[in-house]
Amino acid sequence: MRWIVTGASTSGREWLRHVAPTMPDAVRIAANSAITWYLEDGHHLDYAWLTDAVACPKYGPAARAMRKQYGTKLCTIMRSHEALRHRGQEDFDIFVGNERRGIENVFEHGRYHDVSLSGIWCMQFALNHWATEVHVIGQEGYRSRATRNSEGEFVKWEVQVPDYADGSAYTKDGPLVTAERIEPAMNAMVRACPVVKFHFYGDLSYRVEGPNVEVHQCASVS
Amino acid sequence: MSNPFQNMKLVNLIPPVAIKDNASWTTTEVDTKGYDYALFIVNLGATDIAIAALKLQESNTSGSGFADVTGAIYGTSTNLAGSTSTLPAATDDDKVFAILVDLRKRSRYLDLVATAGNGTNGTFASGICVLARGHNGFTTAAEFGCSQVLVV
Repeated sequence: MRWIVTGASTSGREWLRHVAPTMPDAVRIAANSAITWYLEDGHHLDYAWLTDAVACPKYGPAARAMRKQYGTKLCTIMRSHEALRHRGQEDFDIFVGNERRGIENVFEHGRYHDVSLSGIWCMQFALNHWATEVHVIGQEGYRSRATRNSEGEFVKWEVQVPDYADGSAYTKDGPLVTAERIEPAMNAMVRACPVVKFHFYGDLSYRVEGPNVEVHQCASVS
Repeated sequence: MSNPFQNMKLVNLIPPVAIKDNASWTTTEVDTKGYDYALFIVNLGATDIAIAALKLQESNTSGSGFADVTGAIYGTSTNLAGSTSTLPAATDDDKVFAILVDLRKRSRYLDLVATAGNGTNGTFASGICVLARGHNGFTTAAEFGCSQVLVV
């Protein structure tokens, strides 16, 4: 089964416009602001992923609009009822388990691992739902580097470049997160699923390798 | 009948502050002099990451020389159920974590160490310490550790 997994990085929306029409049969999952692309551009979306406390209220309306229009299933991580209620997720459709504690850059088919990044949760969801081909859009990693004080509060950017399709920059140490979480997690999934064909789109700031990997990297989408 | 709260005092460990991400909460040191028991309560709010550290430390000197309290370290110490405790996870929103302390075995000053993990947004948390079985009761709100107190 072919899947399109959509994150919100800089070239994501353009690649989505390019790729989605060529795969009308693909199962689609999107996270956070990428959900609004599907709504605004009129693409069918099968699953909308929302979990963090900021994204839930921000993109929840778009996700519910997709459910109303396309029957999109709203997905999140299983939490206590009170926690779901506080995030406005009581009416969500699918709850997946966070069976491990702490950040793990591993993947075991049939399980979910805490990676604290919505795009990678979506990847795991696709792989755990029998994907044989995964088209990864809008997950190019982070290039901005911001410093934070001892309280963990944002201070300033040392490197500020667009990391998201709306032009905004990541507010933490993007290269570090990319190197320590995104790259290992992507490669873990690639290695764990050798029969799955992975297609990555965009200007990746990390390296993902394997005989089952193809990277589509163009200066401009055409 | 005596009021069971009469010989208690509250210490505002972690006031409800802004979200923490990959950083430690500034905690209030607890002077336990005059009390026999303490209950440390940590209340998590919304979180998208596991807590990196949650433990008690003790010292006989205010402000310095703190060392871990054996048995009061989430993640390694044994919990009430007899199992190895686990640090609060990324899905433990709105849950309460407690440490009960027999102060008669401890140094005078206790300090809670609470560190949020490195998540997307971070963790909200607050904390209160209840000092119990005090040798003296309170007569004012301030002595109870509060700004105001209502009694019914």
